[in-house]
Amino acid sequence: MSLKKSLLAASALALVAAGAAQAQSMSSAGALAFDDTNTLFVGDAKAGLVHAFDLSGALVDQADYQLGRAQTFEGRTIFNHLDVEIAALLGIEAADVVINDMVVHKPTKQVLLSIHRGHGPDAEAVIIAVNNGALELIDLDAAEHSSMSVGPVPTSETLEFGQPLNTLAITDIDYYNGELLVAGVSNEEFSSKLRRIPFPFTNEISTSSIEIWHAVHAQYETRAPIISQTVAELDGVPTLIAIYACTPIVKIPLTDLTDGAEVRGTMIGEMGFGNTPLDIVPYVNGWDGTSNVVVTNSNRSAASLNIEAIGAAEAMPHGEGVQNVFSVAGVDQFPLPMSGTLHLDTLDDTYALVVRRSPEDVRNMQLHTVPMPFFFDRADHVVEMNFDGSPDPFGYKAAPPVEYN
Amino acid sequence: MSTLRRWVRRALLAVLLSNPIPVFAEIVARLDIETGNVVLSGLASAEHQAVLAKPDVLRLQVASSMSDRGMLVSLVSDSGDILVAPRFPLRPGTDYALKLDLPKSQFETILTLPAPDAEAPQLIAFAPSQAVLPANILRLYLTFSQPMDSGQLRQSVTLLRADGTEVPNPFLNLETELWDGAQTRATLLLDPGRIKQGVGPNAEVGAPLEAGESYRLRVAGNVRSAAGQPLGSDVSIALRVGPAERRAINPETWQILVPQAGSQSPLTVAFDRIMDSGAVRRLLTLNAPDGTQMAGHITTDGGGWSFVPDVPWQPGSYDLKVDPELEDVSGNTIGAPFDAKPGTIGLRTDPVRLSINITSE
Repeated sequence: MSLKKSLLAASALALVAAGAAQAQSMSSAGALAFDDTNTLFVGDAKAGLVHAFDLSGALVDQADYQLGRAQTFEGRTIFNHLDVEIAALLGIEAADVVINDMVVHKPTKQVLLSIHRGHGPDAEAVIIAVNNGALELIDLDAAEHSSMSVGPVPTSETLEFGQPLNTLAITDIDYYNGELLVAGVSNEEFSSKLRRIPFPFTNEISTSSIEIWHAVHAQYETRAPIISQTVAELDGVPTLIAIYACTPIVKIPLTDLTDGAEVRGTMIGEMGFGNTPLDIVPYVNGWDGTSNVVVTNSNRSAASLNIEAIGAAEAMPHGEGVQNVFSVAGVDQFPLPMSGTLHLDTLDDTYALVVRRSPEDVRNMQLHTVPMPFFFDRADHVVEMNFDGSPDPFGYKAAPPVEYN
Repeated sequence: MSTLRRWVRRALLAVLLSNPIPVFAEIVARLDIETGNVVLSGLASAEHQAVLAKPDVLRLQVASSMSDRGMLVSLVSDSGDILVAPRFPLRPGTDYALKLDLPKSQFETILTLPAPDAEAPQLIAFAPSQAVLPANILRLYLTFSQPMDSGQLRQSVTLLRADGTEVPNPFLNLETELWDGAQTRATLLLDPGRIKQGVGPNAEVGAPLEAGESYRLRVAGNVRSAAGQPLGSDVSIALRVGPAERRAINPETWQILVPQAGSQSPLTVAFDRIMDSGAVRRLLTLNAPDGTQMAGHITTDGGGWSFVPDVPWQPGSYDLKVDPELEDVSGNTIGAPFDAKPGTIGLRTDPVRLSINITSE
């Protein structure tokens, strides 16, 4: 029996959740997003593409998987040493695992991670799912696939070394109402452009320069790449809320973003310097019904901003005589007790999900649920209610330990 | 029994005691370098069936792994052997443990694909290469002789003042590093918040580079190539810093050396500043008198640009097209300086065309 035939026979044994080679369609796997149904979008900076995979057959409902006990502010650690476990699945050392992004498929609460198997130019790009607490490789070859070019067009005839050097690092992808919004940072230009792409792909793409905002102090307007973004309706108007590399928060109505437009965004806040924003994720506060966004940061704890406040915010003062505003400023920001966060998304109205460095041991990379709306897990903190013999007015300690399925 | 025979028997016993005989003494696992599969031979028929029926008794994993999880494999019966086909190729030079755990016996062996000899990488170029750089420079490029591992620049590249002290956080802390597709050229983006005038970082801690000062950019010797070889020793690049460049690009000020028709001499442009050498290679194009783009060879160090055509110059009027996205190393464009007056950015988005007349005189 030839080897090829043998391998086909082996698949009938259903030995592992292995599919055919994923890397065939993806050169890299970065930013992730879902549409309102089952289509996964993957930013592929190396190929200059955004991929769309219809995962209708591959997503598994996670309704029976217990996420924690929000009543007593307890999250669940789904994985300790997530990098070690992914490395084991892929047959590499943990240091060679790169977790680029995480997204939750809201209808099923299935978690997907974009992973690189290694740090080199030939690193295989894969999508790994967390299915009821188990790690599984998603077989993208079984999914209906389409893609759209977003990268720079190489002018090969004038290239000295025969291969394009300029690349677009796709920093974020968002889906809103039949459209993809793709932000990125070029390695050769500082004009990061926002691309709007209708989905299903039609080869249509519109590009707006919205990197223009007014500097906090006085006289200048300037450009910067978008690091993270989301779309929210402010007073019924779909609005892009974007965070820039040097940490201003800007809002721009989507209707302003027409092809070739140079748009002046309204700067409504600053996240403080010495810091890079990582993710901006919308959520509804289940306690008071308000709509908010949570922003995670590289060097600060996370912060929550209220959507109504963003909608009502006036541009931050600028012009002659205005004093500098160096720290967090503008729209009120409610600090959240989350640090060491590497990736964030929401699972439902009650729980968020993070890939994080464990507060106990930074060598331990965890996949962990966090009860909302305070993004607070009681076990992470030295709080009196955790002490032996301390008062227990809310019955947190009296509650029996959570037994997870 | 002779003394000799007694001695031999004791020695044999000692060997047996220190090396317990595995039940599957005949089991052999070897790596097939051609296919990347592990070939497991010598299993008894019952064991062979047991492995195929319950594949999780077999585990292939990185030998040093702390996890109980094996890597994804397919098992295939092949003329008495079992082929263990890894879903992803085994890494050359990494030790893998193959473990077989059947009810009555265990087997374990270490398998390693030979690592090809790899030379140590070298840092072969740094851009901009000019002797003096503007204080508000935005981007630096490092070019290596081989593809490199990503994810190590933040720890490995430091900017030092003349007195040897470190400039704190000079680079933008992006989640992804900016490499070209082959991962030989890295872009270091200086923190724009510290370069832009009038924003918090700039006013509070100042620009990372000051005019009139000297610096060293140090790349640590432990920076690895994709083949796992370190640079070997620290490499330092000396930088001298001059005044900031805060003017928009004006192509009218460029000096152009026009070649003669019939020759294949270079057409050379001298800039009034240092352009981004990556961008200028892409964003300056030359159109022939008939409007088609000229094919040829571009050389640039950012301070100038020269173009040697594939075929001799024909007389006529050529168009040097400057894309509006062209930036100098400080992020100034033909549309506006990096720090612009309110309402002025984006007013000029069409390419600038410079007309160049080539004659035979």
